[in-house]
Amino acid sequence: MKRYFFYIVFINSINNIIIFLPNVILRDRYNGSLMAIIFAVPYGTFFLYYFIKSIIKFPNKSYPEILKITMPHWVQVSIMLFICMFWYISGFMMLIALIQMIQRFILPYASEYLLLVLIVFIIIFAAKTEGSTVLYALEIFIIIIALAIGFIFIKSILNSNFSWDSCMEVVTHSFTFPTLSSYAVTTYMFSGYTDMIIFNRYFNNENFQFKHIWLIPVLELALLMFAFFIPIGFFGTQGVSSFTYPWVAATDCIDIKIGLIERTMYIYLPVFFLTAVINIIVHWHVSLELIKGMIQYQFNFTNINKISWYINIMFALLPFIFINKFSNENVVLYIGNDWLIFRVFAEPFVVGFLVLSAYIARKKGIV
Amino acid sequence: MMRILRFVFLCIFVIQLTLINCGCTNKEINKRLFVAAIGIDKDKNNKELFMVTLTAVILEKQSTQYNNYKAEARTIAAAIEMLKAQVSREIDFSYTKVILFGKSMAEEDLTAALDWMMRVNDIETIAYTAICNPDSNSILEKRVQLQNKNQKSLLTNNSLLLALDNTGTSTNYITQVYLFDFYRRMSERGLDPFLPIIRIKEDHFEIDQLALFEKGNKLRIKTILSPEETQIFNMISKDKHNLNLYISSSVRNFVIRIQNVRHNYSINSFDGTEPEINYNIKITGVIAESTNSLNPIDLKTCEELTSEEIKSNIIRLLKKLRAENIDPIGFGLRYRSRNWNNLTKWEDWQGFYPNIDVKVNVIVNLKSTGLIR
Repeated sequence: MKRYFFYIVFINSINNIIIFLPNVILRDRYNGSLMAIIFAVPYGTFFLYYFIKSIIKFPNKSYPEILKITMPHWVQVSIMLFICMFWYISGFMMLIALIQMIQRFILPYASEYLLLVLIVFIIIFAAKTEGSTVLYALEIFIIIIALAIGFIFIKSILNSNFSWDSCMEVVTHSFTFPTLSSYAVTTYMFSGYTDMIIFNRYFNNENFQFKHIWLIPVLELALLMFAFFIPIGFFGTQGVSSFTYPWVAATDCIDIKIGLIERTMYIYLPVFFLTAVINIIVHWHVSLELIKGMIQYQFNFTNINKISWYINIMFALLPFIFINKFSNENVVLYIGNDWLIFRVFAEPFVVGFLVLSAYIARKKGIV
Repeated sequence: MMRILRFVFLCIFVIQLTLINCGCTNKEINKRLFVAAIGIDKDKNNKELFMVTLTAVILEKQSTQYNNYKAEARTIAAAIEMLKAQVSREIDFSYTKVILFGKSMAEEDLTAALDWMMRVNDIETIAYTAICNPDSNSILEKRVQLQNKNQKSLLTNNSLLLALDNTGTSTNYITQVYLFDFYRRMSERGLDPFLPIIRIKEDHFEIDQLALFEKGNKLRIKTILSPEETQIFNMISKDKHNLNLYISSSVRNFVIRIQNVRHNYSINSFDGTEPEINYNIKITGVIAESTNSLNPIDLKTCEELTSEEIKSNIIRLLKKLRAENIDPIGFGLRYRSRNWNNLTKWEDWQGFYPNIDVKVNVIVNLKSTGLIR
């Protein structure tokens, strides 16, 4: 069970380097992106460490249950109301970005409503399943994704047209204070661990030891470096900011001379699709379970199955209502950016509440 | 009830997978017209008009047929729209591997054409780019004419793709330039673009020149390298080793076949001094031909003669680039990447480059005299 924790963290970071990260850090490449990456690693690891240290004290309990035994009622309700929609909004932003990618590269003439019907129904159905099922599915997806990502990374670094001088040129601009948005987007690489507030239900002292945690900062740093430097290596320091999808364009520069397919883009696009779909499933599952848990434990409502269908229907309908607000690529980028900046300030609260709960539980002698 | 629902969702998932996985979205393969090459020219009489030529491949049983379609309009996108009226199929650019620009257009400005190429998402950026002399329309017409003589095979002796992508012939006369590489050089400071030039001969094409571009307000040809200079340029910039060098001396005249090239360069700039380019190149080769086979060859003296010859060639080429103030090898980018003085380094380099010192260090290692001594 231990490895599933790493999957949860990494699927979020791979999804981030696919959707929001490249645009922001490549735009700010002269304004301290590299410094943002360097700052983000200790920051993310710090919060991850204290979050896991605290939640490990509550074996087999999800966050609503933890709150119920530690906090007074009004605090429980306000915390839950504050955080329950975060994961839904994250998944929603990814869904919009995914729809736009499909419209741009796979089905250019399809209507976004048709695509939403196709994707949202499967996601809703998958998000409603057991959490353990979601984790097992995640493992299958991540094997495919990690292989393809590794292939693309190796293939691009060995490419003879990859310009290391351009990468070095960006490194000479690294001593600049980072912008808030590039800092937000790089710290988001780590925040997959917050999904544990629901998935902790399946983790206990026997199947989850707090080991090999050094793997996370090392791998995240490597992923961030790759995500930052590979488009620069292919498009130069000046040209790279002119692309709306820098990573899709960069993978199109890698040719597989002796292969079934020549364009690496056709490996990258399915990876994009799979990563976004599984990540939306994970995020909406967390959000759904949080709302269910809130109704069950905080409001003491018993007929939970019926409620969960209503929440599901609401989850499915919201994208249909709001999709035409996001018809423009730039709007998605700006709103995604604002959402990530908001998340930078919200995440310490989520971690802080949990650390506080662990403290109270120790005082009360529950754990 | 639950079982039925699950079945319905499974069906949706399968349908969705098939929908997304099929490559030809709602248009079958026999309703598409696959474009093999695009040629873009400016009209001779009216400079405002773009002339777009598409070479389309029509696959039939055991043979391929090539057809050219052309249209003129004020923009490239409009010309493509006009071409759609000429053909009854959907024009598909996803197999386009060769992109040609007319020479007269390249002497004016290529920015608009390049912008269209990069903005449209169905042209792959690993397509090969070249300039045509006199214009791309006549090259593509000639190509179709030559191809239709020999219908049986896709890749004939005159295939532009085989020549450009280095899988067929490999020679230092031909320079491979990907579309994305050209685009990168267009915007990168200290790295200037270049394209090979295809010339039309009676019954074949000749690709042995290189056009170097300047990129101020307009992206246009600044100078053209001769075939010999092109060979040397490909050797010193990309380590390509498919060339022979003729060396004459008082003792004997001989030809070196180069087998392996390794180069590196550095721009030394210490505080207060002007930078200088230090170019090191290491060459291994064998003797391919000699005018005099009576007395055996002394490899040591041959090495010295060769290194002097190569050194003078390289210095002449680098000084030519310096005199034209263009930088296709990327010395400026190297200077920028190794200098931490971010505020002024690019302006500094622009001041240094026109009279920078060039030092070339050649090490030649001749391995053999061939099968005879």
